[in-house]
Amino acid sequence: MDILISLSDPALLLTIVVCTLYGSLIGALPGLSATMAVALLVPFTFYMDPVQAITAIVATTSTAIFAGDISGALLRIPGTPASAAYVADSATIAHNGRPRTVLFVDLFTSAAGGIIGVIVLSLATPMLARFATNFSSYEMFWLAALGLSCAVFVAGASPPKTFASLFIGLAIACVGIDVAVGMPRYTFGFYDLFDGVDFISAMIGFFALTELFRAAVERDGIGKAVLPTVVEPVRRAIADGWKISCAHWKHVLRSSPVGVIIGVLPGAGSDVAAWVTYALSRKLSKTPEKYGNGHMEGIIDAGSSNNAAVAGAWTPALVFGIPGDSVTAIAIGVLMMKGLAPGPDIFERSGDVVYTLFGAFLLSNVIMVFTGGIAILLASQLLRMPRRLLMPLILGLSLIGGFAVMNSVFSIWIIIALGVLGYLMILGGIPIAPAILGVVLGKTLEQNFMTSMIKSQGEFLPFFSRDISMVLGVATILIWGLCLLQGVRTIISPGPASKNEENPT
Amino acid sequence: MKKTAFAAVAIVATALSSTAFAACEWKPERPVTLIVPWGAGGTTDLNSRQMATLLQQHFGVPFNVVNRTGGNGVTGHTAISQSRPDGYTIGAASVEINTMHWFGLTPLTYTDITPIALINQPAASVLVAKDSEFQTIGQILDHARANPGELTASGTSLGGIWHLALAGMLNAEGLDPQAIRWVPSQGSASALQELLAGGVDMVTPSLDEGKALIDAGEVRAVSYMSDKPSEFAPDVPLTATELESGWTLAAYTTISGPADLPEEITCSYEAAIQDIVASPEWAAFRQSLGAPVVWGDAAQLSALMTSYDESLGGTIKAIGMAKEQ
Amino acid sequence: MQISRDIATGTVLIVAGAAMFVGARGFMLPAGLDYGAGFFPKIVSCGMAVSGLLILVGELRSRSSEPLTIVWRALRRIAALIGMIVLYGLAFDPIGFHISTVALLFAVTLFFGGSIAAAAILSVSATLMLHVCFYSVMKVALPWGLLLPFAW
Repeated sequence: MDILISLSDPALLLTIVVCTLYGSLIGALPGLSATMAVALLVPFTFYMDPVQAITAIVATTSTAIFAGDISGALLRIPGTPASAAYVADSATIAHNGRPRTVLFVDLFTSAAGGIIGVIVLSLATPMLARFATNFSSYEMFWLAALGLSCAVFVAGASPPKTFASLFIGLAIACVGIDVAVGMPRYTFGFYDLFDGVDFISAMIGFFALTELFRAAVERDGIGKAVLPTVVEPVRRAIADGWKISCAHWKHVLRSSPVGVIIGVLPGAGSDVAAWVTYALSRKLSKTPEKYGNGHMEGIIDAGSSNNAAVAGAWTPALVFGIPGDSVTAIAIGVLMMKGLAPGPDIFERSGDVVYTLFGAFLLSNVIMVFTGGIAILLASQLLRMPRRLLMPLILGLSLIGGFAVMNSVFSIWIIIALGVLGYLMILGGIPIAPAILGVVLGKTLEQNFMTSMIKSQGEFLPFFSRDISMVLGVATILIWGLCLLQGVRTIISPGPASKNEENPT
Repeated sequence: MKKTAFAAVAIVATALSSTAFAACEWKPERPVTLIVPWGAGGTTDLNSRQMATLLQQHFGVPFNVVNRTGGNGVTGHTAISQSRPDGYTIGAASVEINTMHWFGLTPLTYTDITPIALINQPAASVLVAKDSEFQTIGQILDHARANPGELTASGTSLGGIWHLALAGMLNAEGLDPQAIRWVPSQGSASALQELLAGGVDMVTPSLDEGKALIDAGEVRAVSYMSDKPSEFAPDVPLTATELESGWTLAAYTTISGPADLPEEITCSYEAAIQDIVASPEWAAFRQSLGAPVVWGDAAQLSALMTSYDESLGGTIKAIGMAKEQ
Repeated sequence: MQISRDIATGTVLIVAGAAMFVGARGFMLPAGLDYGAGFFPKIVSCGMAVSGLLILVGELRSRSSEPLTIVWRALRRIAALIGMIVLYGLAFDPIGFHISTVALLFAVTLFFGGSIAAAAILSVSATLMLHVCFYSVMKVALPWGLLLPFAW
């Protein structure tokens, strides 16, 4: 009862409304991450009570992960890495005249994913946290390797080109100081490259700049025959969005728990959750060929799981004080500042606060539906702009967004370089999405591999010596083996897969 | 680090004579940028953001925190050193200013920034999992002496300050600095994760970084690398008394300015930060982090940096990681 | 001479992989280990070269991709766009965010075929919007440059 009373506190509701609006802005602007948003909230939390402070963080992050889809669908630039997996689908649907429908589907399923995440969190937090503590560098290495195999399922191109893209992404991830010996690699003497290429800069370069280059080339298409971009009426969009979301309830129900578990694991968050569930969704679908060309199923699976992962990241933070990601790292600081030291007994010590926290989590996801809806309506006005005006706007947003990541003009050089690279890849028929996955997972993969090698002193056997690591390792090797076999087969005998792209000459 | 005292006295004397001429009444009139060389959410970032909030109240202009990460601190420290010395850019320089030039990562040293104030000085600790066989630091060292290379430790990147804490201790106790193998990690949080998962035998972060897990009973603090007991865990044995070498090591966080920051600006900030550090808000904040209030003025900080540079350089040379410039 | 798209793609990947491998050979090894800073880059570079080789072989067998043609007009327009962004990057710190962004957006709007009036309105309003979103709300330290005396 106390929990309900504290939840109906108008100050708390106001906090949630303001923070979901704030989160929408952050998420929709490329370059601004949820981490930055939360770091800026910290000074305000000094003046809040514990529940209000944590609620502010939760509301901001959940909405930011959803709002990343807004710019993904409307501008083909994912606002956060968690939206990168299905940006091709959502942007295609938006381009075909249903931008609001796809965003409302996204909003409804994101909220549902978030709510399922909270329910799992409130039922199984201590158990999940205990599970997460079993993950050492061996398990994380296998997990990252498994995550990379998603690229093969996600991209629609021929296997060699998918692999080429993946390796380009991994090569980008090699830039910077290495983990094992602390040596700068491929930095050409630039200090700004020591930390590697941030994946937000990579995304902006790969998606936004390539889009601009494409537009620059087809000037005639932009100048005269402006596509009258259709934006469907709001009412129909909401009704359709609701109908589609309800029709796919099974997808939400199966992907959200996967998202929670990935969120619980250290070092893997919403972005990995989205990739994995998108790949799973395509693998399990009856119509895998539609993925990447504007299919709702992948958006629903990945969109709900990345919001569920937001909740998952809180379990190790609450129970062991180990942050699941950089957002929860800040949140732990705030928790301790409010006298709520994390620990396995946090439910006994401060049960009321924790359950109120879960309630606030739930409420944030509900209120997000309304504030997120407003954000969709405002943002979709952008599509009414002629493209010749939209393009400069995208450029300004991308460059300043990139600057915000590093606080340095150097990010502009990185964005140009990656934009050119991305454009060359498009010309060469190489898909972009696997490269992004490579950039996201490359550092994790190498770090955990080198850490494991140092621990095992160069032996491979310890990679399989633990229960979970053995299961993950065998699964990874099987899946990669199958992928490679498939790839080799298409080369030896050009089968139906490669025939698809053949042009009669 | 015992030589520090003499050096400090000498520098305090010269510093006093120079401050006598400055009025210390400089005030920023537009937003100030506070550069943090480390990522959002870390200890340095947290302390800096709180300091920025309080400086904002003190001066009445915005203090914006800017995270310039990269290159194990090289990017951020370089940015602090090279900004315009007009008082509108200051930074949270940390102990890495004393280590990175020894690794040959950058020519930048502590003489390229202007120290203003010391605000944090967390000492390293030795933490083991709750079911570990080791009860004392002596047992760990004996085991490492008998079985060099068998035990593993983690806490930060290779050559990071917590690595130097361990390697320096081994070196000071007459062991091979590699007798306990260092497993690099992305920071204290992932090192603690490894410890819980049974991936390493011990971690050596600052004591407050392990506080939540110590309180939770998941992790035991075997030793605290300091000569004064921690206010928050007074029972943890000190290396200064347990070890023959009396080894201690603490990292530090400062507020510093670019090279050639005018004395007038330096002492104005110094006075403002001194007021803030003495305030109840700062005390409450530090209490919540599980860390004591730390204060050192510009002269003391300058002496501290000088002595750290020498001793850490010695450690880095001893473990064979020093590089000629 | 006509070169098909996939032959070019494959060759570029092989060359890039080889260059990366050569670069990785100089990287250090940690004490007592055979795997160091160069290990992962070497694997990646080999993977890149092998996938390039597969693309090349696939193309030589099937001859299916279209020939590579250079459209000079497209190249010029992309080069012009990149040139504008590079100038922007160079001007950003010394001249400041506001002036350089207005100039860039003005030029780019004209480049994409907007009218002068549209370019003027868009560049000023978008710069203001970016200022509010990034500088005022998100506290990103956008440089003031020449406008420093008027900073707010």
